[in-house]
Amino acid sequence: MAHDLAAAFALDALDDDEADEFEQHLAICPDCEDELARLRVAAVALAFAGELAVPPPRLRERVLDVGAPVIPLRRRRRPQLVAAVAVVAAAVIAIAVRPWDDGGSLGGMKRFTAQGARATLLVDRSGEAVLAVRRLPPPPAGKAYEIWVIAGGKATPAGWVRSSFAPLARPVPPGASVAVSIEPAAGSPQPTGALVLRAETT
Amino acid sequence: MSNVTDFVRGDTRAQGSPRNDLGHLSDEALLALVSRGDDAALGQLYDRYGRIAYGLALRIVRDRALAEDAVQEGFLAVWRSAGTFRAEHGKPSTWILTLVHRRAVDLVRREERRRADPIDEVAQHDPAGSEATDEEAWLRAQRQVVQEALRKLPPDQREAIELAYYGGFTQSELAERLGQPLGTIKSRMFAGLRRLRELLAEAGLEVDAP
Repeated sequence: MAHDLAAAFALDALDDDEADEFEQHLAICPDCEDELARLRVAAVALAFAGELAVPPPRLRERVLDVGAPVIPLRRRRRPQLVAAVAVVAAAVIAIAVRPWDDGGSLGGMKRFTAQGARATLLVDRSGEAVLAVRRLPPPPAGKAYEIWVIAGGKATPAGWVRSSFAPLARPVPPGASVAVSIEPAAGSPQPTGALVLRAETT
Repeated sequence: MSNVTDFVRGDTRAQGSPRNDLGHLSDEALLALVSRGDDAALGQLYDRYGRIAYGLALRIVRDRALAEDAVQEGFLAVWRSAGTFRAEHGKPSTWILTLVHRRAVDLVRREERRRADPIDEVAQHDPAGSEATDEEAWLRAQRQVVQEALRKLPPDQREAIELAYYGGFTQSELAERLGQPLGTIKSRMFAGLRRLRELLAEAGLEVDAP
């Protein structure tokens, strides 16, 4: 009989074996699930009965930091990558002298100079990539700059160039190339318009 | 086309600086964002419940460093399992504080740090001179309601649930400690929580019945 464990479970007053037993029971007993929800309301009210304590400010940072190891790669990496590109590009624009070397390594990211419009592609080890584009004129009316990842002879849409820095919507596999073409603003499944730039990652 | 400064500013925001727009979202909406990996939403939930969580953890583990660990681990659990939260089983705040409580109890059991008498040891250390914000006033009012409800409980029921919730004792440990059969302890905890819930509802405290 696990029914009579609901109150103790709500108070976290079961040992590990008892808690396991009750959790298994919960899965098959909707009555206990409802009862537990009601008892928890009372149990959690106890949290509000104590004196107010002021946590140290660093606790907020710790709480937010705990996300780091488990944040999905897509979310976490890209802002850092973009930030790195922004910093690098800002420096380059400021100095505006030294051309970048193709295939050089920069903080673990490889960079490739595009042909056509002035642009640099940065790709990290996992294939996440950002395109840094300089002095691209606004697209014609009703058109947009669409990015393509081309691998194995197949072009796949990978987002849009709407600012100086465009994170790619999909990873760039080794040896693939990245291109930008002028497409209808709604997008195309395949490149149809004029090629603006192309960067090979070989 | 935006310039570098615009972009860097936008990016800073994406990395989790306070976003004022989150302040208007419900707890449920914030949890939904957290389940999609939005750390700024996690920060907003911390801003709402971090103080209560820390106060609770501190009361259980009675050690500031351990209390921080409990809060951090509790919010990590929130982060990892936000997708499993089910609104029909209660409020997000209940869920969050339940996760923090569990971590604090785990820690205090591991550390063998137990308060001999949690009832008498309620430290009267209100942060002196802290500004009386609306939130603070609300928390104080809520605390009064809960404390008063606790005072109205039969003493043996109150003792059982306080030792369990704040002391981290298991029901078997309580039976031994109080010299009562396990069944008696179970009944006291059950009757105590039920009565407490009624008292809170009578006092007009928002109770979310599923």
